[in-house]
Amino acid sequence: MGETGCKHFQAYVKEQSLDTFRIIDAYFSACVNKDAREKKALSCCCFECGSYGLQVYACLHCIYFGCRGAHIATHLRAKKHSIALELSHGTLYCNSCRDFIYDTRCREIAGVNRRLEAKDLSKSLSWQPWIPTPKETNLLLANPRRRRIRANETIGLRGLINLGSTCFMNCIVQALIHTPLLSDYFLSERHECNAKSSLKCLVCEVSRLFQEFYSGSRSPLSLHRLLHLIWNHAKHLAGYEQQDAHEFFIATLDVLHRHCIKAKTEVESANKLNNATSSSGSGTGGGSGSGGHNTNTNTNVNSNCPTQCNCIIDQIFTGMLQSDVVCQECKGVSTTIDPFWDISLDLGETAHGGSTPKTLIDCLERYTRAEHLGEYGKIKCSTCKSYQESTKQFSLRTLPSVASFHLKRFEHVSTLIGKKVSTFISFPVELDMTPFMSEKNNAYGDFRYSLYAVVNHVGTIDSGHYIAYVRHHKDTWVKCDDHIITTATLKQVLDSEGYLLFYHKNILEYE
Amino acid sequence: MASSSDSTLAAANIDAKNEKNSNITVSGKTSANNTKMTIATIQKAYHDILKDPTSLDEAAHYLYQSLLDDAVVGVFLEIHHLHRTGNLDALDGVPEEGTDASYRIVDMPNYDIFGISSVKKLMDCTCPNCDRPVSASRFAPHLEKCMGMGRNSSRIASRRLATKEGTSASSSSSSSYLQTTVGTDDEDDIDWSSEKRRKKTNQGNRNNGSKKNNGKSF
Ligand SMILES: [Zn+2]
Ligand SMILES: [Zn+2]
Ligand SMILES: [Zn+2]
Ligand SMILES: [Zn+2]
Ligand SMILES: [Zn+2]
Ligand SMILES: [Zn+2]
Ligand SMILES: [Zn+2]
Repeated sequence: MGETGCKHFQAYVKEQSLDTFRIIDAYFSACVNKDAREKKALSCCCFECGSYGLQVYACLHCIYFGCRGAHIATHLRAKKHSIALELSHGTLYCNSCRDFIYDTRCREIAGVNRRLEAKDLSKSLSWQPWIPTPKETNLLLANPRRRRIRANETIGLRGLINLGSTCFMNCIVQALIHTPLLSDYFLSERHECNAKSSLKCLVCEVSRLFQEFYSGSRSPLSLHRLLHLIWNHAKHLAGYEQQDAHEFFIATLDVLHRHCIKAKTEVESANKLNNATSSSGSGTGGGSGSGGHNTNTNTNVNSNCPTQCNCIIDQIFTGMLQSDVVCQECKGVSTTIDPFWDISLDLGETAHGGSTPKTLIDCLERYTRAEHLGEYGKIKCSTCKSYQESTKQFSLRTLPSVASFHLKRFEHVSTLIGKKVSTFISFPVELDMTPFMSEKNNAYGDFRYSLYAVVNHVGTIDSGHYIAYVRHHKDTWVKCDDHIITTATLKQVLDSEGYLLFYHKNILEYE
Repeated sequence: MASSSDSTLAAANIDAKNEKNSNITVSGKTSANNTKMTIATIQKAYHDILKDPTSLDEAAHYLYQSLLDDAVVGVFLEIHHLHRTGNLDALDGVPEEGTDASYRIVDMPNYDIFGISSVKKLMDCTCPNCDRPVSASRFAPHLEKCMGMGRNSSRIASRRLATKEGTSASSSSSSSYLQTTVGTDDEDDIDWSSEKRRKKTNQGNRNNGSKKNNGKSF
């Protein structure tokens, strides 16, 4: 049971149904297609003064547009019509109540129309305010105390005890806890648990961690339960060898993702079926369909995208990597698109000479450069029907909300001997990923990112320690060295060596 | 918020209207107006606006005013709705009392951010596996043995198993993106509780742990 407008609106709906609302909203408020936009442009002006302002109302009883204030009010009063639609925001107005009114069914219809509009213009949905359900309202009223989060306060920070060489885990946890989208998800308690006991659920454990970090307690926290759960779900990790922070990061994402999909297996298999039957994946529902699909007839696009998981981990961390293999004989392009959680970047000299990278941008340029696969790397060309020399080039098809980069500082000379590359690689606070995208001219794309966490390995490959810098608030950085949390300057962060770099997208599309 | 194309058309309309108003003096007879208005006249008006700096300035000003006005109405409607549903008070709540100063960030030598002098704490935790109390600083090595994953065969077996799963998963099944590797089971005497860090053997075969194709290994 939701909102039902007012008694005048109920009487109106009884008599007229919601059809007029549906059509007026679709054409003159949401403008769901080109025809609607043209109709609005040509005819949606005040019948009294001819004004085309944004604040125009439509009478839902007859064909009449009037601007806000006297012009629409005069009409409604004179004709004894009570319900009008404010077109800019799609809000209902009752002239008998002299007030805006809200109706749940209309909001649902409006939602459908807004989605059609967004799809037609291939843009993201506009922002909609959160509307608490009656249950949520009651919870909010029953628990009125509010903890404000301020930039000069420590709420949201906790030291983490070293459980015996577990600094790699502490660093990754600090980076994850300070990922804005993840904290939004967990602090709004969006995880619906299907596990028999929440003590056995890793996602619930992460949820508890967020509560601990924001509890206001200042004593360091022990992650022993988390370590136990992760080792239980990724047994191959247990032991000395998983002291690599990057490996632990990927494993943690994987375990969390698997926990999430366990609950959604039915939905997944249904999706898979749909994907198998539709030959051209035209980006429905995925949200990231950026329009302008490859229409070049010479290219052989075999976009074998696996079913995109929609769990919170994949929503935040999954991007799509495009790889184009160009046959040097016929110039035919074969494109494959694969999901990724992070990008591992080489630091050493390239095989074909060339200078060693000095900045993150250098690394990314190198990563996305076309590379000759050479004589021994011939690939079967489907056009030539034979093995041909080819070039291969990576580009980013879609980017995740969190772009994480792994600087490959650990080289392996042989199976047992490794060495650490300590070259200084500078990385920016603000990063624009546009040059590395597959489609650089996407009008709706904004690919700017901000640095929010850096994991560092200090020491040598044989004896070392991990510490993390995280952005506590904008312009407030802290250093997390196990249980010791101290303030840090941006300069300290940027001067640090950098092993894992975490960037958050500045502008997020809705849905 | 109206879409940008709406606004563009609206901007074009002001000019179209001005043009029109010079011909048609009577307002309110919109049906007559509309037959005159076509997409072509709107487009023409739009290009005329772009050409003339003064009208462009005017149009930009009009657009800005409209968008601002519209945004203000948006905020008003949101608050109005919250008020009507009783959520305005519910969301506001009352601020926590008497804690203002205690959470303040501390930036002093020899103190951590909470204002606590940085001495290592001795803590105990209960092992979730065997329910015994363990010193927190020695928990990881304890857990490794406790879960039977030390240097014994069960661990090697579990790793072999994991490797198998890993390879099948890497061929684009969505069940697991993780790629794992076999070590050479060189169970030498590296004490895991010491800070030794040892990478996997046959590193070259893996794509650095990420999902597929990251490591540019062809
Ligand atoms: Zn008017
Ligand atoms: Zn009317
Ligand atoms: Zn009413
Ligand atoms: Zn759970
Ligand atoms: Zn997932
Ligand atoms: Zn070819
Ligand atoms: Zn135990």
